[in-house]
Amino acid sequence: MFDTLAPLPSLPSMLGTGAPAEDEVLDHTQALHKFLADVEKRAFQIARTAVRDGDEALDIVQDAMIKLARNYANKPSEEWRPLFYRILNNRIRDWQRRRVVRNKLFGWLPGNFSDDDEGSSNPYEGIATSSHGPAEQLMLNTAMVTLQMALRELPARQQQAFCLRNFEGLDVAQTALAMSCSEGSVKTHYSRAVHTLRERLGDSW
Amino acid sequence: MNKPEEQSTQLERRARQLFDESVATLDARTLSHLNQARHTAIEAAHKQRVVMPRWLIPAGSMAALMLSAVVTFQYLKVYSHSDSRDTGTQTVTAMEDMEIIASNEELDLLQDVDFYEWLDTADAAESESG
Repeated sequence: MFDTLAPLPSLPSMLGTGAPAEDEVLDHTQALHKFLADVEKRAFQIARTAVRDGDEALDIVQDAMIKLARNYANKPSEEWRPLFYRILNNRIRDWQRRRVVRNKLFGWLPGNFSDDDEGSSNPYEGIATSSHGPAEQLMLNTAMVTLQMALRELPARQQQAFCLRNFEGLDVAQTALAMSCSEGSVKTHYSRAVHTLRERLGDSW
Repeated sequence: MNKPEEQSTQLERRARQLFDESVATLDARTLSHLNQARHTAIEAAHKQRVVMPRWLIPAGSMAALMLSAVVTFQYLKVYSHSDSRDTGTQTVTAMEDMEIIASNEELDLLQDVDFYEWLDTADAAESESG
């Protein structure tokens, strides 16, 4: 959808010769707003699948949005999507590292048994807002929970490759940029992810 | 694998469908938080954009440097001309000035400073003679 947007003015050009035109700033802000509105829900679901906590996922998505807006808003809009997911993946990885350290230090304390987000595995979630019937929505939610559990068991890189390629629809080059690896690695991770998921979920999928 | 839409397996299509469905049925609380987060990010980008032009950064630094040099020069000038015995008194006086400025008391009482100085001197002279 952003392919149709006009090329955005670069920030240096906006800063270099005095104040930017008000229209330019408005266009730029609107384009960024539209982009973030487009990716935020999917990014949240990807983050929640990875960190298993809705509130943490919200924080991670907000951090990623702020970083993109602050540091990369002057980039061409076509680059925003892979850049955004690169930031998001880095944030998720940082969070997972912190969790490992935290669990090592404080895991023996009472109340630190699990980081799982009960909300993410609630099969009744979304029934009230769904256009499907309750029974059908319950089936969909149960299937989604099963998929999320299978995804969480994948190695992090395979999980990223599957989410970015399959859920977010990035092509190989964009996924490679988002994952900071080669296109060949993306293909390998994705292929292994699909293979493993098929083994775990069965032929019915 | 170049285009998932063309070569995707049943598993991939099913997974994508479920993911889309889960995104479409996010609860209102989450949507509200995401909306707030987006506006925060946009605000951050706007603040970043209206930051002063880059050429002003070295100019501002130079101005700050010159100001600090002038203040330091004035400070050294005052204290190099003063008696070393007075240094303590001046410091105390400066501290008292700061206390007066920082206090919330009525400044009307401080208008007749000359009178209070005279009163203080007179009291001191009286106590010495007495």
